Amino acid sequence: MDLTAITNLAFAGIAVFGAVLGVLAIAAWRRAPSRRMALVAGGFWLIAIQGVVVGVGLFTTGLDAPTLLAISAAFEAALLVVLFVATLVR
Amino acid sequence: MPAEERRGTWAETLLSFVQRYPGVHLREIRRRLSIPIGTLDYHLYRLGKEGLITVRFSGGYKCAYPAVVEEIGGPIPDQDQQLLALLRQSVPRALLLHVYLDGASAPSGLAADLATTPQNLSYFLRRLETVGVILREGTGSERRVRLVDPKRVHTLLLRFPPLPEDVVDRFIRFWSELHP
Repeated sequence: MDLTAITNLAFAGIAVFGAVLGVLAIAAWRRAPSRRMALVAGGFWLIAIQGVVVGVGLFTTGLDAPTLLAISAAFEAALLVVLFVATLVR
Repeated sequence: MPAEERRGTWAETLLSFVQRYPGVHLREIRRRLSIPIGTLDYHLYRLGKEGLITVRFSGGYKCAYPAVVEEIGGPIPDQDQQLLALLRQSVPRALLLHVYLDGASAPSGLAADLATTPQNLSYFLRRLETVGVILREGTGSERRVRLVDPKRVHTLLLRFPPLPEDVVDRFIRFWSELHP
């Protein structure tokens, strides 16, 4: 399989599964409102947005690889911070 | 996604759900059965009039009970109805299970173990004390919470199963159980 197609599929998958888990987390937050659940929902939406932003950046805007890597790293760093805080709060 | 499948008419589905999970509150019934609120109100009124279901307020919730439980051979006693309404909520259920399994426990440890706030714990301890299930003894660091009648709790927990978990419940449990 072509590497471009695999990358395309991977980012589409990240966006879709991130959004599905984001929706689930929002449903969980509505049922059991807490700071932790809000942070978890935020984390999953970050993943979904990362999938969309990097996917679109790769195939439409023509951004170069280092720029996209930096964007991706920024999203992942933000995600880790959010999940770390979610683990700490009660 | 409804956790319970609808078999037969709304009235039959509602009655069998309430018989299986007595003490369940109306919002939960609506969510689990995906039943429109108007339809739910209508059938609860009708089943109540036919003497098959009773509805009562408990802790701000409108809870439904079967008029007769086969195993008991009559209605659920008043004190047990109040306790069942509490057992349908996650914190008091977890609290009772914890004290039942671990014996007398310190309230401070309970709040941490149940991942809840001291205010929330104190609210449910007060309510459980009111229905005569738990007893708070001692003062200060010697303060302990214990069950008044562990056999009663054991019987109720066995006789009336908890509502089945759906995917959102599992999600909540998974993320709520994370501790640093």
